[in-house]
Amino acid sequence: MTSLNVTVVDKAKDTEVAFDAKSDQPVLLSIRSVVGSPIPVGCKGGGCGVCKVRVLEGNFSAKRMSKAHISEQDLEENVVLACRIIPETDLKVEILAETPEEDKS
Amino acid sequence: MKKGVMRPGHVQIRVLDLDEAVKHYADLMGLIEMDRDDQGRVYLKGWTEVDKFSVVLREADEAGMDFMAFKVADEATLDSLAQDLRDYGLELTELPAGDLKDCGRRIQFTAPTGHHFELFATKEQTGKWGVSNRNPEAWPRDAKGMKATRFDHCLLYGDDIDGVLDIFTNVLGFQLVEQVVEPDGNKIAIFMACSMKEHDIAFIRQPMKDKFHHASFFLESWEDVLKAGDLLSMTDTPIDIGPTRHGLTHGTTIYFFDPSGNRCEVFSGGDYTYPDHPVITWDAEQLGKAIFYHDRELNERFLTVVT
Repeated sequence: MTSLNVTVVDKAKDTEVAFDAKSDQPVLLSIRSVVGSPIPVGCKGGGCGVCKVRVLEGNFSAKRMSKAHISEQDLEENVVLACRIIPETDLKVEILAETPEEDKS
Repeated sequence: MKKGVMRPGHVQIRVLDLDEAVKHYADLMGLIEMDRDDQGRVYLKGWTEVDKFSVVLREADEAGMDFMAFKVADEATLDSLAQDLRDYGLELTELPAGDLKDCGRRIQFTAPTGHHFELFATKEQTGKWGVSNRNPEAWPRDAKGMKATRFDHCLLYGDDIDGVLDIFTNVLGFQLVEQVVEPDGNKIAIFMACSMKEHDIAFIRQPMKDKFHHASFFLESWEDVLKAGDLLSMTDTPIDIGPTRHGLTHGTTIYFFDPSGNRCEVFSGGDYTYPDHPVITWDAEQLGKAIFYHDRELNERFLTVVT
């Protein structure tokens, strides 16, 4: 396990926040030590879509994510759920807030 | 008026990884794995339940609930309720016996909120798990984890809960037990029972179709709810909220998530219902207290995190 750097870009708030992420677990689970998570936290299981982000830079592996929130095309465009991606390098991600109307199910 | 619907029979839950899910529902929550079928589905139940299964896990590419079923008194009741649903204008799908292993034929319909419900009358009865019907001991000594005793109810999110209320009360004979009402009389939450419980099925109005808020399982005591919280910490399982008490139903509760993001509840206690009981009403401005009696406010996840 190594410690990697994850930068979260929030265009709505015009902020960039960085935190240390472990290389052996999903990005969102590394945030527990950060007061006031920079990424919205939902079910932590790939099911609810609340923590949707676009990976702008860096490599990752991904566990299965609910198709109701992440389509094949999303995956091709590096749109993923932060609770299901495990970083392989430092990452830069952008928050994509999902409203209920956007649910693809 | 009761029309022969007895109790929640089963819920089929979609999970993203079957092995992780079985660990969660069996090892952590203490449901008993009863069987698997050739589609790969896993059948489980709480140890006090007499029918063979009450939870079916199906691996899929999205989380959520496939359907929830209610058991009715007998096959004749199933036929008459099916006719009543048809007369109401609903399209029914009849699933043959054996489609779910060791379960009889099921009548399925889609509620106005988009949720799929089914009725059935027959399922293999394997009896309570680990205790006999004759001179039974108090509890099985080898139940695991939270030792969830039974599948109790579901809370679902959807838009047309007025339509759902009409079908469940007027066609299926459920009783509206508790409700949350806006000043103009608009219902935003309905808790309904076909039994003496405070709810066998509940809905909250949200602008969405076919969303699953949680499946709930009964524990014997408040201390069991506390210890469920301990087990969630021991296993690093995401807790949504609790242990705390609900205002609605007054049950003690803890919410948490399965490894696919489906919310689960274990709870104990709660009020009871007789057919002559008046409807309990919560004002919408008291919604926070109605849901979480101690915090008196909703956590953001309660309204936004569903599968």
